[in-house]
Amino acid sequence: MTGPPAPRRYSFGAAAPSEDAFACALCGLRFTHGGQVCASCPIAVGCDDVVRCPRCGYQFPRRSRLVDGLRALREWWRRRSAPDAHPVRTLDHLRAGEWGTVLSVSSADAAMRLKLSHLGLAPGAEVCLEQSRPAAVVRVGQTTIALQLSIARAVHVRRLG
Amino acid sequence: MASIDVAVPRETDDGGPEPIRGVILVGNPNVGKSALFGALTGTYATVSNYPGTTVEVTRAGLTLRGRRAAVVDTPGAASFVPLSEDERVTRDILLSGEAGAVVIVGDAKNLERVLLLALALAEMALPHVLCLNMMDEAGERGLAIDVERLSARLGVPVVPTVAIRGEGIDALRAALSQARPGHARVGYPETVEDAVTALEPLLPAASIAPRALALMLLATDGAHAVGLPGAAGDARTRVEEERRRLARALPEPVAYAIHEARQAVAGALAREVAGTSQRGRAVRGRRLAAQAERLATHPVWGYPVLAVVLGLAYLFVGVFGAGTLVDLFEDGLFGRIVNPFVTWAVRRLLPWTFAQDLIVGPYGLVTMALTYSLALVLPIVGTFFVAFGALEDSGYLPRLAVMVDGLFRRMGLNGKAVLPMVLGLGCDTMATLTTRILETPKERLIVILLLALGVPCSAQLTVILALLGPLTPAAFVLWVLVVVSVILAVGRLAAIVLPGRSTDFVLELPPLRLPRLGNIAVKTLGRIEWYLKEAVPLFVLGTLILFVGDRLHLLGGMQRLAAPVVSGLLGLPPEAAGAFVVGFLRRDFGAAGLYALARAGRLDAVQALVAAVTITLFIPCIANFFMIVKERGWRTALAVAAFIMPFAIGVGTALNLLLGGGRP
Repeated sequence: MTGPPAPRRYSFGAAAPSEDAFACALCGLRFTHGGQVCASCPIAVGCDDVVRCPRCGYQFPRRSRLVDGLRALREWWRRRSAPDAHPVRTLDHLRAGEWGTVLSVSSADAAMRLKLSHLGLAPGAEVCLEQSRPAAVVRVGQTTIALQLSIARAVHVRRLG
Repeated sequence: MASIDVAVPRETDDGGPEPIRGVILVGNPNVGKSALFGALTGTYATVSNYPGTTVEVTRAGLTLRGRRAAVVDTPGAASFVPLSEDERVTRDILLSGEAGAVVIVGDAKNLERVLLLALALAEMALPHVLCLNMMDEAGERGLAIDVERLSARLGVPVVPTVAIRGEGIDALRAALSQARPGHARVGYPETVEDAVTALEPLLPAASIAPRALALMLLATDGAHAVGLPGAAGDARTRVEEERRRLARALPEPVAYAIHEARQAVAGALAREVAGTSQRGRAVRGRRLAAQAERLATHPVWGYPVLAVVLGLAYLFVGVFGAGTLVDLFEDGLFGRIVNPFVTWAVRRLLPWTFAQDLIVGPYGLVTMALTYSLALVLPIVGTFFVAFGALEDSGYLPRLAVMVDGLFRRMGLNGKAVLPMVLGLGCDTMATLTTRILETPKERLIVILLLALGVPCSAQLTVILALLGPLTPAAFVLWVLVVVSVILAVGRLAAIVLPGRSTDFVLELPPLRLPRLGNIAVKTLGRIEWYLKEAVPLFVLGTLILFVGDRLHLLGGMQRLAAPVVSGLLGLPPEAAGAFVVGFLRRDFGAAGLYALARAGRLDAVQALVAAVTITLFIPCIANFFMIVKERGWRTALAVAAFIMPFAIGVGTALNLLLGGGRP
C-alpha cells in the first residue's frame, strides 16, 4: 500500500536556527550533535539539554528555554509588525481574523484528513482563523472547528488579501 | 470487536401503499436530531448543545395516519464511513434493515455537510426526507435556501424546521409518507467505478443498494469494517483484492477519494440553491455571542472565564443547594416535621420494636434511607442538574475542551475527553457510555478508569460538599487538589502503561447560545426522576443491609474486621466501616453515611477530609461497574475495580499520615 505523499516543507520568513548545529563556546568549532560522546555516560537522564564539543570536550547547554521563549517572542513581534509578503503559509501562521484558501492538508494520518474533510476543511475551502492558541480555532463556512496546533501546521493556505 | 452483519430486507406482508417500518433520524452531530425526535414523538430525549449528546439509539412510537411507526434517534455522524464508535452505531442502524424512511436532519447553516449525507443516502436507495433544521439561525445569518429547487434536484421532499420551537414539524410528518430514494447520483473516479462494478454482482442481497454497499466495503476498514454474512468466501477476497488495487492506483485512501467526489457534487448543489437573503447579516445578539465565543477560548481571558463559570456553579450548587436547601430539607422538613411525625405515628400504630426500628430506628427506612436520599442528596443533586443543564445548553463545554487540551494531552487523551469527564460529574454511569465519542480504545479505557476512580458524580459531590462545607474552605480546596492530582497522576501513568495510541484534537464548536429555561426544566425533571428511580431503591436496599447486619450483630463484627483498615490506616472511627460497605452500592450513600458521622461530631477536620478523599476515589457504584462490563467486558471492569480499591485506601492512608491524623 502506498502511503500518503510525504508532507512538503516550506519555510517562511527568517529560517529558524537549526537545532542540530552548534558552535563550541570555548574553541569555536562548528559541529553537529551526534550523541556518540554521551553514549557510554551513566548519567543518561537530564543530559538531553547538554552538548559536548568533540574537540575540546567543553560541555554547554544545547539551548535555554528562556532564550527560546524570547526568540519566539521576537519572531512573533517581527511577523506582527512586518507581515510576511508571501501569501502561502501554514494555517497557524494566518493572523487572527484573516482568511485563506486551503491548498493542501498534509497530515500523515489518513483518518485525520478524512475527518477534517468531513468537517469541511479540505483543499479549496475558504477558512478564517479565529485564534491559534491554546488550540487553533478556524471557521469553515458556518462550522467552527477547534484543532490542535500541530494539525493546523499541516494545513497550507493561501492568504486572501 | 464484532462487526455488524448486513440484514436481508424482510418482505412486508400487507399491501398498503409503502408501509412505514421505522423512521430513522440521522444527521451531523449537534444539528438537533434529539429536539426533532422529541417534537415528532412527544418523548423527551436529552437535548444539549454539544456534539455527542446522544451516543445510543433512542426509540419511541409515532402515529402517522393511523399507523404506528417506530422513530429512531441516532448519534450524530459526519459520514457513514465511521471514524468513532458513535458514528458506527448510526451506520449499523442503516444497515440493519430497520429503516422504512430516513430523515436526514441537517443544520440549515451548513448546507454542504447536509448534502454530503443526502448523497450517501440516495446511493443506498433508502427512502428519505431531507429536513433542514435551525432555519431561524440560518435566517439570522442571512442565508436563504431555495427549498423547492433543492427538492427537485434531489428528488426527495425537503422540509425546513425549527425543532426546538416545533416549527415545520407537521410538514415533516406529512412529508414522511412521501419519502423516496431520490435520484441524485455521484460519479466517482474511473478506478473506483470499476471496482464497484466488479463487486456489485458478488454481493448478497442487503437492505441498501449494492452500489452503496460496495462503496462502503471499499471505504471502511479496521475496527469498523462491515461484515458480509451471506457472501461467499470469494466475495470477501474480491473486496480485499479491489481495496489493494485501489490503494495502489489512487494517490489517496479510497474513503478520501469517495468523499472528494461527493464533496464536489454537494458543493455545486449548495451554491446553486443557497443565496444571501436581504436581511442584515449579523443580528445584535449574535454579535454579543460572537464576542463571548472569542473570550471563552481566548488564551488569556479563557481562564478567568472558566473560573467565573466554576465559581457561579459552586455558588449555586455548593452554597445555595448544599447549604440553604439542605438546611431547609434536612433540618427543617425531615428533622422537625417528617421524622418526628413518622416516629410518633409508628410508635403509636406498631407495637413491635422490630417494626419500629425497621422504619424509624438508627438504620430505619424513613430515618436513614429516605432522609439521606430525599433530604440530603436530592436538593443538591437537583441544583446541580439545573446548573449542569444550563452549562450543557450554552455550548460552553466544547470550548472547555479547547482550554484543557494541553493538560489532557499529558494523560494520553485530547481535549475532547473533557466532555465525558464533565458529564461524569453528573453521573459516572452515563458518562462511561459517552466515552464512545472518543476514537481509540486506549482513550476510552483511560477515561473510563478516571471516571470510576476520581470523578465524583453529582450525588456524591454534593454530599462531600455538605461534609466539608462546615469545615474551613481550606479543607475543600485540599480535597479538590488531592482528587485532581490523583486524576492527573493516574492518567499520566495510564497513558504510559496502556498500549494503543492517542488521537489528535479536532472538535467542532457549536455556537454559544442562551440556555432555554423550558429545556433546562424538562431536562432537570427528567434527571431527578431518574435519580429517584435509580437511587432511592438502592438507598433502601443499603439501609436494609445495615439494618439486618445490626440486628444479627454482624455490624460490630464487620467493624472489628475492618478496623485495621478503617481505624488503623485511615484513622477513622470504626463506625465509618458501615459507610464504606454501603459505598459499594452507591458512592453517594457511603458519603452520606460519613456526613451523618460528621454531623454527630464523630469526625474531626482531618478525618472528614481523609474520609471524603477515600470515598471519592472508592470503588465505582454498582451501576457504573455494570456499565463498564457492558462497554468493555468483565476483565476490564474487574481490573478497574481491583486497581481502585487498594489505591483509594492507599491515598487515604497517605493523606492521613501527611496531615498527622491520629487514631481515634
